Amino acid sequence: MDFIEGKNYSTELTRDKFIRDMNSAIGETRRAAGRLFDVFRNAYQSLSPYHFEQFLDAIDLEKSTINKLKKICSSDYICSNLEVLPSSWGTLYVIAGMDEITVQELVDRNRLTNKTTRTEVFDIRDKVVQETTEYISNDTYENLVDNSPDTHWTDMPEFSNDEEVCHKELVMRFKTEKDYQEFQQLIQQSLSDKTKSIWFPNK
Amino acid sequence: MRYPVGVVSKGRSASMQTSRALAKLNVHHYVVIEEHDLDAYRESLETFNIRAYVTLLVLPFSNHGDGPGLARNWFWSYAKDVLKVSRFWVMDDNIKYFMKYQNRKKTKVSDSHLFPSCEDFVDRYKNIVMAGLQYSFFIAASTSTYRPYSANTRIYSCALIDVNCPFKFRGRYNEDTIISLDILKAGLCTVQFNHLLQYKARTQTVKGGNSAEFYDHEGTYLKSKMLVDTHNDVSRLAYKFQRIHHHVDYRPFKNNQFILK
Repeated sequence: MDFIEGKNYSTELTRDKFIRDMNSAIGETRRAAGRLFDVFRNAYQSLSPYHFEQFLDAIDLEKSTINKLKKICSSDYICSNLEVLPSSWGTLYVIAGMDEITVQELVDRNRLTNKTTRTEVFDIRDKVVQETTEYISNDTYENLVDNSPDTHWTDMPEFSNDEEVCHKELVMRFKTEKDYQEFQQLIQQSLSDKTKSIWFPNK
Repeated sequence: MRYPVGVVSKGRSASMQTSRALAKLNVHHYVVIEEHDLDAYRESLETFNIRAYVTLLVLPFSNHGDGPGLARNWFWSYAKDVLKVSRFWVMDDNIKYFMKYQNRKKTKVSDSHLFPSCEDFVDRYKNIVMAGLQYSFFIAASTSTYRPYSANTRIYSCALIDVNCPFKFRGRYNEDTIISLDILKAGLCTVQFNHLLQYKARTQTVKGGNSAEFYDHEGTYLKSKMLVDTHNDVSRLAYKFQRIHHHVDYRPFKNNQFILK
């Protein structure tokens, strides 16, 4: 800084120094974030679930950050395609919330690249949701109907499976296997251990 | 049937259950396989005498370890871009036969006449993007009652899909349930038919498919966990039928309403 009459004036040299320092700090932060993600991912892949939980308890990260990193690491698709996806784990977290087929299609169509920013991913995600919603949004709701077969099963094959009315239902108990066998002979029906109900006479 | 049928099959040339079931109903279909299985499947077409009903399609990838979703998505693109149809059927290759449910009885069907009824039904609506057949073992025919279909629930193993559905199969496991939830969360609809049923060998009981690739080694924990991790707001892990399963609450989607064309 140059001091003239008590006021601070910057020069192009000091401006450029600040730019260099700032970009250097940003780079270090990004590298540190990348390193953090790499270590976390290696731990996720290498440790047993039990040891991984202990690892999570011991590291100094907010729970919300841990959950985000876990979500990213649990995506086989993301972990297998890191080179074509954005490197920021904040961006990867947004991608982890999308289904893999959609992400694959976006990558294939170059709508999602390793240069895509988090904000752009949000936009892409919203567009995908919108495209999905548009699939049904052109409908006027006057055509809405209930889903009951009473309304819809018309001009369709006959379907008569209504419950048959019976005179009486009862629960029977057999004290021994022999009693059960005797009962089968009496009613002349073969019953198994899995039989839950029968008709008499047999249908 | 006016929409093409794709049977995604891997390492099941010795059984080809769905293909044989469809051939018995005189249904022409595609069998989507990986290249290393090609010779074995060609041989099986002769062995099972189903050559006239099957067109083999060879995937451009193999042994990727990511489950059947990629192959289903590939057939999806094939149906849309090559066959230029608006919907397609995609089936697992462990369906032994199809059954109709009528008069409180389940009986094997001997022709395909009920399939077009499913196609007719969904074609009336603009927002039913996925439909399918209920498993026969979930229908207790003599003791319970059911409606002709269930709206807005998961579609498993045998699905009729709108090619313009904005979602695709994803995930290594449970891709059926995951895409069903993707669809329902977007406000779109699914329909599971009860008048026509699939009799399917239970998952992990037929060799080949994903059994060989990962279920035999990993059991069902990771499968269920993937779903719970993906849609944790409506699903949770549960232990039932002697295996780790997932439980999904479909109630939030009961108000997704069919929209007539």
